[in-house]
Amino acid sequence: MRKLKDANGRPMGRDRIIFNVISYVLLTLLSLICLLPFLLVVSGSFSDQQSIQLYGYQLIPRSFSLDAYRMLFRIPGELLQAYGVTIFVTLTGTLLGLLFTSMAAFVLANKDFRYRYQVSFFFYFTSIFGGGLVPWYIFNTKYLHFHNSVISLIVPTLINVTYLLILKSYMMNIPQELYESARLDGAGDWTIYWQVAMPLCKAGLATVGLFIALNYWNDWYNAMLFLDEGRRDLYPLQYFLNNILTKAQALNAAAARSGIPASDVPSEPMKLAMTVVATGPIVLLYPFLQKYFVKGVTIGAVKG
Amino acid sequence: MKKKENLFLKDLRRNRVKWLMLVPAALVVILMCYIPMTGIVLAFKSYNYHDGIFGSPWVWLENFRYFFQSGKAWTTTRNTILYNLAFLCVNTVLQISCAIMLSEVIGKKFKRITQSVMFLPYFISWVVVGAFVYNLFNYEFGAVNTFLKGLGLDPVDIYSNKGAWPFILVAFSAFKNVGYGTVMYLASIVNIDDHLFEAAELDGANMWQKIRHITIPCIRPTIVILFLLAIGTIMKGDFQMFWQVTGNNPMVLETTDVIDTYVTRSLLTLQEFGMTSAAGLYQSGISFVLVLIANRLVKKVEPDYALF
Amino acid sequence: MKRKTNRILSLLLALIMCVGVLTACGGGDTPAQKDPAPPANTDTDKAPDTQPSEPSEPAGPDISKAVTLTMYLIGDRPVDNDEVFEKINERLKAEINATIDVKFMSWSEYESKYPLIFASGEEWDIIYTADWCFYNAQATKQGFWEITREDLETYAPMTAETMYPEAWEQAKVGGKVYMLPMNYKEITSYVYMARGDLMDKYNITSVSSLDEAEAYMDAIVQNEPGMIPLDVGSDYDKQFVFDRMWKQASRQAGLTEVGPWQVMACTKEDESAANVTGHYDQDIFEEVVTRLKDWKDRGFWSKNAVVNTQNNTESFQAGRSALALMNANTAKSVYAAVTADHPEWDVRVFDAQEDAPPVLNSYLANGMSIFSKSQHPERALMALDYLRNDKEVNSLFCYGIEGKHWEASGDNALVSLPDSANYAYDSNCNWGVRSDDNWRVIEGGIPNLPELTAKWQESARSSLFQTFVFDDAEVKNEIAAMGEIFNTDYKLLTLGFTDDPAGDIARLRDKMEAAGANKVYAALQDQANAFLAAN
Repeated sequence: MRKLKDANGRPMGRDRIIFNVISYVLLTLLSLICLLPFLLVVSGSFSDQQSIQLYGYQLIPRSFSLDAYRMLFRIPGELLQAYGVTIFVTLTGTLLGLLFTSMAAFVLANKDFRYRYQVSFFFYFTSIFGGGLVPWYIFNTKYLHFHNSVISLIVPTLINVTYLLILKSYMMNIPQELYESARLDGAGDWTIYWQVAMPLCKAGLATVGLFIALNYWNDWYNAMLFLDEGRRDLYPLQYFLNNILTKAQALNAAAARSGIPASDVPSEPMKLAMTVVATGPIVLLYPFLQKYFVKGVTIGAVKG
Repeated sequence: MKKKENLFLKDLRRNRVKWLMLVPAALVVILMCYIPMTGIVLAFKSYNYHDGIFGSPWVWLENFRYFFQSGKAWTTTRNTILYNLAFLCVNTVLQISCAIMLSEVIGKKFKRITQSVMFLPYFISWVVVGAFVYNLFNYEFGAVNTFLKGLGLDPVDIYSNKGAWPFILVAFSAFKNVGYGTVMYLASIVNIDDHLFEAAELDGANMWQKIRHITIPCIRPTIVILFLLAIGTIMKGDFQMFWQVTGNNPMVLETTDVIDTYVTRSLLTLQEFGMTSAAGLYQSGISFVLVLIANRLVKKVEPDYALF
Repeated sequence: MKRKTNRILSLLLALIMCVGVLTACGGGDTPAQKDPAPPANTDTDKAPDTQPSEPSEPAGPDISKAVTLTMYLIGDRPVDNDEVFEKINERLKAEINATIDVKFMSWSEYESKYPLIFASGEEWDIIYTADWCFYNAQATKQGFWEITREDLETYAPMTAETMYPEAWEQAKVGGKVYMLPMNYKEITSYVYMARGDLMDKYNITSVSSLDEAEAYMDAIVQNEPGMIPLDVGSDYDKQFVFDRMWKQASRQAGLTEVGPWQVMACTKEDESAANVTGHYDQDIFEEVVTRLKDWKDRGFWSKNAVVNTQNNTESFQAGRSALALMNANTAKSVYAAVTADHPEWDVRVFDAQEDAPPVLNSYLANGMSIFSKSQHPERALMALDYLRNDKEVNSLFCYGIEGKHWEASGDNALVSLPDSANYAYDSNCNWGVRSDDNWRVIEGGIPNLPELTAKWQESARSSLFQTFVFDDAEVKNEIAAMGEIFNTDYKLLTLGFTDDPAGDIARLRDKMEAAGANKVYAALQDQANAFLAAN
């Protein structure tokens, strides 16, 4: 029997083969469990309202209909605009957020920094105690004038303390001797952060960056709070989609009041189609990030 | 006293780059969190628009009364904590196992595809998940009962079965978070120095031994910090999940009611900011005490892993 | 280490306090033009108003300065809204030198956004409100500008003349009025909608009483295994069947409802004195629950009705259920939709009121209010006067542009034109300015509806406590706790989910008493007696 080899060309022992077989089986099963509901969502988004109401979600739609997508894409210009806003907000927010978060995390993970516990506490405290929606809203609109501005879509989500502390824990894995030797070479704090810590923490940055990006991508709450309906041009994708749904339902009700039989708004399939349309980033962004999640690419590379 | 101040100022001067690097994040936190935090006083006030947050009359503990008067305070607090502990245990084990398996399997394509697929549930909103649950368990038309009837068995009525819901909720929480959590551990695993594994292999260690003695200990800081962070949110429930998955079903509230769902139900039409605020303060207060204890314990054993 | 933590903590505290002071300085400013004093329930009599009267020249209000009023409505902007308001503004500009800028809050967000715009410091003037849309909550939080009788006479003379006195009384919160309620007598009456094809198949001739409905549903449950007879249970219709039964039973027992719905209270229909009790203290409650349990056990609605998200009309339209219960207004549109989609069903509509007379809706079901921090409250009131009473402006707001969206059909009816899809009849959050004087009904629809409507209008009456408003300031906590019971235990009973009606009702009573029901009922009784004595 020929020896099986792993990705690096090293021969595999029996234990490794068994482990791989088990992993393949379990991961396949798990993937199926995760995939099946999503397939139901996709197929549901292509069926009509009535068959969902009568038969529930089916893997193979009983009737094929593009109505849901037709409703969502009715004004392609606006949808593109909403995509544009979301992409802009996600990019800006993620880059800024990641920069701010990683700078703070770097300092807090640094054992030379004697106030690291106190400052960590300063950050962490905000994730436990909050003033609630009303004071927050008053401050943001009355004093910071976030109303109807794109800033309101970016700043509130900029720093997530949980991610900051997670990133700090990743950064603490970086051997501090590397910092020391850099310091001996005459590097300052900024240089160490930018040229030593950041490259060594790619997986952590990718993870936290992904999380921040997902928050921006999925956000509709800030848009709901801060944007008037006069600022449709600033509507991000998720809020835009939500609005089409409620608007369609309202139109339907309004038509019915006029005594004209309402054209059925496919609200059920629309909910599902919205999921499909909004799943974009993971399909687009995630494979791109995956190269940072391969074992042994970081520390080994620097040391070697 | 004077000497200590000097110490702080000295550090400020010596480490000014580090302090400057903290400024942007700190500024955002001050603006978005600390200033609005003063609104906590609402919990002790009867708010009106004319007098504003700080001018409204004090009612002190009056806003807390409804929560404790109903007799639901204990059940909901217990449920919230137990659910969060169950989620924490099940999700952590599942996510770590997935991360280890993903880091070890050799097929690159397989790895990439499974990783992406596991992330898909994150995008299915709880509203849609709730509809799935209803489609599965509905007594008359649900998939489970259709299947049972097909086998000639009696249909089951899950929606009136209190005991079933903790399992259903834990399962769906695991389902929705598996991809998200796995990434966190994976990022930690890929950072482990490869030389450790090579050295262990030379010593003749097998797979299981390497996982037990290298992988797990190396990702311990991540586990500990995620555990501490979870303690901090132990009094909060994912409102959408509980509301949508159970369909806000009054028949099984004894086992599914958490603080957030209870508060929402009671205050749906009252719109009392003070009462909402009071419930929030109760949750924060308990979490804070628990976190202080947990953090102190961790600090005793491994000072580096502590949150603060 | 500990000492250092302390120091940081105190630093932090100091910072918070600084900021607190800073925010506090800006917090309570911008005093309203009129001081909306805290609503005390002391002066229920029409005390002569004491506030300094506005500089109003005897020659009429000063309108020399042009203003733009911002009006918040709920819903989504109709396509032709701007066109309609252009016409409205032309008129308003000429009459009162003001124009209206409309902002919409969509249905999906109004619950979160509505209270926030009062707190935000944003400048606006007029808002839609209703008893179900936070009127009481915002009025007690001093969110609205008080409207006095004098204000009406000065700034809204047409309203002063046309306003129903009982509507004005109803709008009082702690003796003060903060809303112009709609001037429109609306009756809510319920109908059954049944499938004619199935009725003929099983020899059912009529479904216009509980007994007849029972016979029909029994036929369905026996013969149509794929169907649920009546698919109730969603938030919209969870109480419908209970209501039908309870109304019949309480009519026979001479009882009437009193107080907010969460407290589930009733009293003898007696004009001399109120004796407030919970529903659960009445024998008829157990009878009703027992019948509901029987219906539920026979499969008249789903075993999972409590988690139903679809309402019974949707189910009926989809063909999953054979009977639907709804109010007459909803019936019009459902009827139109179903007869278009499924003419073969031969849908028929029956009166579900039996001998319980339909109740006149509260006038507060729709209304308009002025923001307490509005810069131009008087002009806002003048604008509302036109929106309510001026035939042209009112019709524009309610039905759109004549000739484009609708066409008159006599003096009291209209026909919708195809363009009404862009500005539909009575669907533009115009409900707050509905006025009987200018009202037009829509033609067409259910064949026997005119006959039913005539009957209802004859028998309709206001309930004894129609204009009674309960001041809940002292019992907010109790009401919150009772609201929770209403949404859980009470909901289960009213859908028949109980194995032991007597036992579960006793448990409901215990929970209600623990939540403070007796305190609420005592307060309710005092206030109700005061109300009866005053009227």
